[in-house]
Amino acid sequence: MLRADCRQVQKSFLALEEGRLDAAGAAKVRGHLSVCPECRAAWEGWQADARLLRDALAPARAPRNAVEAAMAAIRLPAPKRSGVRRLAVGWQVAAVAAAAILVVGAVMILTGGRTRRVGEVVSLTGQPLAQQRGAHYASALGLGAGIYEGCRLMTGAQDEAELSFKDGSRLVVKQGAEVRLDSLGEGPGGTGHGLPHICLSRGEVLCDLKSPQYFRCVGTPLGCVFTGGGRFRVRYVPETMLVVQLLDGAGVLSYGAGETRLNPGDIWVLEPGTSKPWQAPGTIWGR
Amino acid sequence: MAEDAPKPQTQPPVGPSDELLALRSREGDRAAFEILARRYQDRLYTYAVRMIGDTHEAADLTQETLVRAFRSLGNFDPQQRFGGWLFGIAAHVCKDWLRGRTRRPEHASEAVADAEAPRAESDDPELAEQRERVREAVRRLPLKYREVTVLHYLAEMGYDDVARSLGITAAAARRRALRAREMLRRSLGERP
Repeated sequence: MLRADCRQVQKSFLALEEGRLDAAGAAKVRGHLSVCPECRAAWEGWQADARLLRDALAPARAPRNAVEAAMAAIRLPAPKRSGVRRLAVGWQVAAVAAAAILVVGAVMILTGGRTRRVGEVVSLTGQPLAQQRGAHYASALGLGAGIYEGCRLMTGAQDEAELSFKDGSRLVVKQGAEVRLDSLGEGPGGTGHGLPHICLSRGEVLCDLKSPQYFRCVGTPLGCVFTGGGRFRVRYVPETMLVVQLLDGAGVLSYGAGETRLNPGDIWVLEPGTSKPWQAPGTIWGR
Repeated sequence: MAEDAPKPQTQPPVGPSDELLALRSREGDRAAFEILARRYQDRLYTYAVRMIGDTHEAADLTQETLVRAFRSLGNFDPQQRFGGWLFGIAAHVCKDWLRGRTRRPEHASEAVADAEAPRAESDDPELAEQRERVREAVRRLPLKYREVTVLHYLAEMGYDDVARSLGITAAAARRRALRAREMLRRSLGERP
């Protein structure tokens, strides 16, 4: 028969494993485990079971053609719903959309049109203009002013701005550039906090990414650069060209017709109306 | 299993996040969806095998899950984890199949072959036997306990994400996980 405190400790094994106990709770359980051989054995058994399950349920290899078969099926037209069902679904969609509009409207009113604050800028050089989403005017961005989702940053023809983020990542916005900072998530990979990316409308940015939480994607109307970290340089000349150079790390240039893996040092140029990028010499940056 | 075959996807991918690829897929970019499908195919397939215990059907259900996911991308909320959303669809697909099977006559020669994960060369038969015993014990769990266990240990999802995928509360997911552990322990024999 287990003692009451042993029962209590053994009930908290799942929370202990998940790291959901607060510091005091975890210390109490660990303290008990250090003096109670029965509970220690039960905890070791618990952990051994978890290891067994993780090992036995590890992913196996899917049949070779699984993805090809799925992609082929996707190309086929989706089965049509009956007219009555389509009508019913249509009403549901309309009701949900109306409710969503009301909720979004209420949030906009309550927050004064501002969206989530993103990405802590810990240092700033230069004086870029910032226009928060929904604002009528742009104003000089100062430290502590806060950057919100959808904020547009613009540098003058002679000015450069450098933003440093909490994790040591840097974003250099070169002269005459305009970027929109979208969903600079705070979680690993941005999941759960929006997608970390920036949109480059014109000009050039130099990114030095220390962790994937800031601007792991730079998007332009011609194509997008995706990286998992490292330094890279992107220039977009509207309706003319996109120039990309990865300085270190790994990345991919994605465009309408496909993707090109980026190797450090290579410079790729993508032009409108062409099906794939071409490699350019370093002199292109001087143009 | 061929020894030089690529290992199943378990590591976090390098490159665009799942959520970004899902957004691109939603806009009709099939290449983006194909990247996602390749990232998840092994886990989806193994999930189906562990849930239904039939490798041939599991391959079809993997395909069905991917097709349904592509066609439902309009419902994907990028603030959620894509993996959790995708496994939610996989759970539905497997449940639909299991429900259908209760109405259909049992397969004459049901292929309850096991999907074996690639292992190191040093793997010994005793370990392999132990894994098979654990898988068999998981297979015998009632559906609602099995799906929580498999999602947690195979898809490496926390119980909050498991709960979201299955449309249950986090407390219910944890209760089921605890109950599943008790049942497995009994089934595999008490540890000294």
